[in-house]
Amino acid sequence: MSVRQLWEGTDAAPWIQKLNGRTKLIVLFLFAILTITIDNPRSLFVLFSLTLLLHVAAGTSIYKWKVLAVLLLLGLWGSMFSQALFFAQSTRTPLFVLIESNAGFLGALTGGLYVYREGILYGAVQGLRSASMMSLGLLVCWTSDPRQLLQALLAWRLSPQIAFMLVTAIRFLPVLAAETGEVITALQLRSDSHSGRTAIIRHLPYIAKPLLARCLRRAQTLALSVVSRGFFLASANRQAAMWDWREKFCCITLTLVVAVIVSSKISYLLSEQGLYFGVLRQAYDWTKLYL
Amino acid sequence: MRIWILVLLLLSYVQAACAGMKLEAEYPYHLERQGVHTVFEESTVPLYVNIVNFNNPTPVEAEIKITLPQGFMPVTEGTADKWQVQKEQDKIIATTRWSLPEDYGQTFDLLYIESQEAVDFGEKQVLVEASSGEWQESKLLTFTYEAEQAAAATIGKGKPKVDRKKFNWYIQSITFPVDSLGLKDDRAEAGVIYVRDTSLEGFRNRMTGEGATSWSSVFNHPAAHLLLELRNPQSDVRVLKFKAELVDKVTGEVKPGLCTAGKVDDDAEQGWHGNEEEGSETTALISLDGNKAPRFILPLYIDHLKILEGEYNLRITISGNGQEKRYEAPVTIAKKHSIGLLAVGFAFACLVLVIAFSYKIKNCIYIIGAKGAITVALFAAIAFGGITLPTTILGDLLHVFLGPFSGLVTGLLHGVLQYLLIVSLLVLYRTPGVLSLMFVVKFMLSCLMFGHFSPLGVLSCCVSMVVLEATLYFGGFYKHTHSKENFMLLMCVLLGLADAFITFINLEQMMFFYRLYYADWYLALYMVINGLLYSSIGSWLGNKTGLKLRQVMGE
Amino acid sequence: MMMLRIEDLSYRYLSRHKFTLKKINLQLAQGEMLLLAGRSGCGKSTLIKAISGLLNNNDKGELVGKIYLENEDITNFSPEKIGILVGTVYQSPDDQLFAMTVADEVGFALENQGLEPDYIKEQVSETLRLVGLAGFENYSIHQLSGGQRQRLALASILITKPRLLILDEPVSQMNPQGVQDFLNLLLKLNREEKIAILMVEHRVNELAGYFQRLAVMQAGRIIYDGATENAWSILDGKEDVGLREPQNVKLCRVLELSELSSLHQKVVKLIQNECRLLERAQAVCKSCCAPETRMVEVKNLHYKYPGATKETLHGLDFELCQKQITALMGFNGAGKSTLMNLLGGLAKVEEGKVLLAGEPIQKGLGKIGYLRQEPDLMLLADTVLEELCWKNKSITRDEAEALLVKLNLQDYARDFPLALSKGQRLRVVLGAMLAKKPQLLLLDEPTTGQDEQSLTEIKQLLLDYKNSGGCVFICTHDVELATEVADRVILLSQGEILADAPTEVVLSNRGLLNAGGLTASSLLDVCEEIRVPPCITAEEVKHYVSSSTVGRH
Repeated sequence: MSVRQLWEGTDAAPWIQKLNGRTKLIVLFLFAILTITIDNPRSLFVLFSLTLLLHVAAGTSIYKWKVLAVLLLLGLWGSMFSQALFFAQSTRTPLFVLIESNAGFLGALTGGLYVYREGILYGAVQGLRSASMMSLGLLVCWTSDPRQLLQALLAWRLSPQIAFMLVTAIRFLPVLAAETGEVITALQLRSDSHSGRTAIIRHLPYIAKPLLARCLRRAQTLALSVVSRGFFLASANRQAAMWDWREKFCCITLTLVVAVIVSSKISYLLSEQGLYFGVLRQAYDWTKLYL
Repeated sequence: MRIWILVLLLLSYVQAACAGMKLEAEYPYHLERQGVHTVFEESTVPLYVNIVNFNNPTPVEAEIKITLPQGFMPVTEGTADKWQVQKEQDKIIATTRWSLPEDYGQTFDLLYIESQEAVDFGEKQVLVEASSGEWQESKLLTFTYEAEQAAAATIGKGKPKVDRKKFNWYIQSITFPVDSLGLKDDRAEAGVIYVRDTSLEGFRNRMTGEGATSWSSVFNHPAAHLLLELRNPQSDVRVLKFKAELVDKVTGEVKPGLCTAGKVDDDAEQGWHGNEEEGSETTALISLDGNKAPRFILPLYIDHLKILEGEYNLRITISGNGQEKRYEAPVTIAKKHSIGLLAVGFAFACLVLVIAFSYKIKNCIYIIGAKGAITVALFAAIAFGGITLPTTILGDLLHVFLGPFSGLVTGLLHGVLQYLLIVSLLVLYRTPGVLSLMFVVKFMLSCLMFGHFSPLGVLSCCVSMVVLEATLYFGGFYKHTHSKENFMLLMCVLLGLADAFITFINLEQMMFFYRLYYADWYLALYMVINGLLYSSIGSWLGNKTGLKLRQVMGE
Repeated sequence: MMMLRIEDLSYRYLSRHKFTLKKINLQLAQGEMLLLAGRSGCGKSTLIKAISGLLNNNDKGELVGKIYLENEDITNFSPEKIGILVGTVYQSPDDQLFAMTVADEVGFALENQGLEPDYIKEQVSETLRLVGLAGFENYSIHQLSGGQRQRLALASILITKPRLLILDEPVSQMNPQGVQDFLNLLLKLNREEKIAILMVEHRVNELAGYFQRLAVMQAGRIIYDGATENAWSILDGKEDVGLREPQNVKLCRVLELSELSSLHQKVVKLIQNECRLLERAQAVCKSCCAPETRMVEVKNLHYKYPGATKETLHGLDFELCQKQITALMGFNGAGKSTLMNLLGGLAKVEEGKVLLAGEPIQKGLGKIGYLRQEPDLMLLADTVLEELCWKNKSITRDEAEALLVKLNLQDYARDFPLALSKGQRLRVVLGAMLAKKPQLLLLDEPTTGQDEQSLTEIKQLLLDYKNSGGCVFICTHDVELATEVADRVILLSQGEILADAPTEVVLSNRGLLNAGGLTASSLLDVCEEIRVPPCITAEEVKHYVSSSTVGRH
């Protein structure tokens, strides 16, 4: 499966392909708000599991599951690693000492660098937030054509000129990638040594100019082409795809649910600061237990 | 409504009827060992006196009189202004007057009592009497006075007899702030006490109907803990008084700011010594138990209404047995402004600004024309393909090996490449809004291609747009059509600084939204390397590239 | 009815002192087809911009004169307004298509006019049918071939039903087969839709047969505007106009015929009337590869892309020699690029042998110069001089200066290479290759989009390199280039060598040409008519035709 195929939602279950782009983006955004609102590890895990269930329901292919697994595991590992080093709650148990606090300049700068056991667990839990968002984000991308999402943005009154720019950028992404590859090949061919032919990193500084110059020439041609086709008339009467009332209803319901959850969380946080309302006691309890 | 008023009136009558005072006294008084009624030969042990008053409509005066048995003398050094001592026949009488607060209060003190050399062993009695108006109450405290050998048996055998007058315990060190377990927190800078931001307290109090004066929950929460290490070479067993004050660094004058918890209401922690005087100090009792290197974790309480930010000396005074030891250490009082919250607030302000000026972005497209718009789109595509794509995939992979420091590698793309593209684009199209346009397209690309559609993403994008556009605008970049090399160099550094600021805001937002921890030095490292260094270099390369690309632009 | 009328049109870019267009007068009738030619920088593109309304903005330059479209003065019309009346297709289809699907691209112009989606959909289907892309509505742009993209670009402007179609070098990057298909489509549009066509193109040699009228520009002026057939005689001797003449015209010139013509019937008649045919051909022999001159040896080369089920190359065997230029030709997808990449060391030889000077090619990668299809993406340095010396320790300063002279770039030594003209950019890259003194020079479609002058200069550089002992391997679709510079042609088809023989043998064999997807030289038709053995160059024909002519004026 090619990288392009990976980003085309042709192999997903029809029900999710047919969902309106607006529905997908709203769910994605609300979900992101939920993940940053919730602190409870179990609830976070439930959210994360929910995204995986959605992948199952969407019929994500084995290949995409593998890609998803790699990205999620790497992301979780990143969070665990960073929090293992910077965990700053008590109690904490150092497992390894990376830099002693009295180890010269670095020791003085960092105050010692330790890998804390509790930090690993904490990082794993907090990593569930970004993992959940990545999982759902990829689900949306893998089940939608970029045009579908773009239509959603246009339906939300995105400027036609910006929409044009966006389409242009998406259209030329593979072309630019191929040209970058071509510049790297050129650099390899023009290198004077064997190592120069294999070391891509060494070539990175030289890639920009030929690539950008090519962009400018392309912009010249494309501009001529689109201006003569009425680019700035912009009276575009693009008809947005129908938004099914059931999808709309679900979005409204979900928005309300998220609003309640966020309000509950905010009131709970305020109560911790002393702004406490007796009538909200049950909400506080609920928030403390589940959020 | 009338019923409620009636109930309230009844309640007030009931309260008045129940108003009263209660005397508590204990001798010898030990923090840890309650119910011990033995005083050893030639020791100095405190007498604890406490008057609990409740439902007093106004403050009242109370008189306390303590009658000691023969051969026992109060130690009044340092407290002579509080206790008056007089001799009546062969007994010593110590008296003092306390002002009991209105409503509810606990007023208490310790009076150290020293036994003389030639006192007979056996059972003795101390009479404590208290009176206020019509109220009178007395306590007769019985104790046994014993020889030194018995004390040695309880504390440790075989100890040589020492002159107790010459006990020389002293302060070894103080460390603050520490946590409640006495551990130093990496995040907390040594010698700095952060004062909680209480600007919402008045609002809170009014909202909860407690009035503006109810600060007990704020005041009774320690602002910091202090680790006090003493040296007690002669294994003294004694209760000592601890006092912490803020003093002016130059004049040595005691400054207001510290206080003692639990002076009023019923939320005082047991054992902490409240002082009824208007003091600017945190006081506590500590107990030496014979350990030669005792450590104490002591809370410091802040008077939020009086404390001022600044540099002080923290003066620690330990007194007892007629001795007093002092120790001073520099301290910085800093108001704790919630930086994460401020960062998020700033980001939201940026979002509002972006929405307010969004019409200008559209104007910008008309100014730069179709060619400019396409160029911006293509540059954004390169930024997405060259920055977002690899950092999403390779960034995670690098995390495996470099952990949180992988950002220093991927920062080469975020810093150098991104600013190279930005500045070269700006050299080609020197128009306000071009940069924002590129950020918008790049953000939307990552939204459509990766599903990076989150509040944090929106806010970060807005922060970058606002901070960088403001830097360019106020830096004078848009005023000229061409810039000299020196000016561009300055501009590149400014952009580097702006990116350092953006890095800071974004990391703070990450910490806030994702509840992550990053050490201050880590933030600083990213700001300096990823922000200032990489971005300045990238900007400079972008300027060079842009000047070359101008020649390709054509007519 | 006059479709387009340009009266005394002059234009000066603000950054220049001189006018780029100087008093241009041009007329185009309804349904007429005009080919506009001229060397790079003569003002052709500026003229197109002026007609398209892209220059009437005073910020950019000074526009004098009038442009009328169907007798309406459009000089000050906005580009958007003119765009509805005049459709313009540009050189590179890849660069003028922005949308993700075919339907979006074609419908863009109508969407901008705010028309109803249903109507747009209907028009899109109809226009796609017109250009032969019916049913491609939902295809991704990336799924289309180069020729299909050019048709799509055409469809995207035909949807507004313009009365005038302007094409700016539309076929410069197409292979010969693609050019023919595209021009046939234009002819159909011209005939059926009565659209006037103005095409700007260097490749006059291939297009002359399709256009009755030719206009030639030079230094901002139109120096010729008349029948294509008459142009050759009138422009005879004006080398600097940069026209790439048809081979028939070249033949007339070589045989010193009384007239210059591109029409093969006429050329045949002229030869028959004015020349005497020899009974026996004069010896035509090209030097063959001697063992000591063998540079590259390819033995039983197989190649399969990772993950592919079929082999791309099936057991190739051939040699490349010093002092020889070999052309690699064949259909798209025949395996030409794969073979070039294997020789250039970009792909690893899995099965078989590829030796350079007797050693495996991987050991001698530093001795190979490989110029790829997009030379612009090979320019890395800030000045031309730096470009020649980039990562090259073997060249001295004096040698670099000498090379600059040879490349005709001595005046541009300090210029930014990417800002030079297309021909100059190609020469800089070629120069950078030659500066490394390679034993083997690989070139992948080096002449794409180059004008006649640039072509001549490149051909000369290649011949010089060959004569100095170099070995050149060119992958090209350009039969004329192969005819003029190659000593030998390897014809590749479906990963196998169809022919490996001297150029005149391969390119004169119609069967091989068809099998390799190549267009036969027009000289072959002439040779058949005058009954001489098939020849591919005018000089070869001369071997069969006596210089003593009959009826010469």
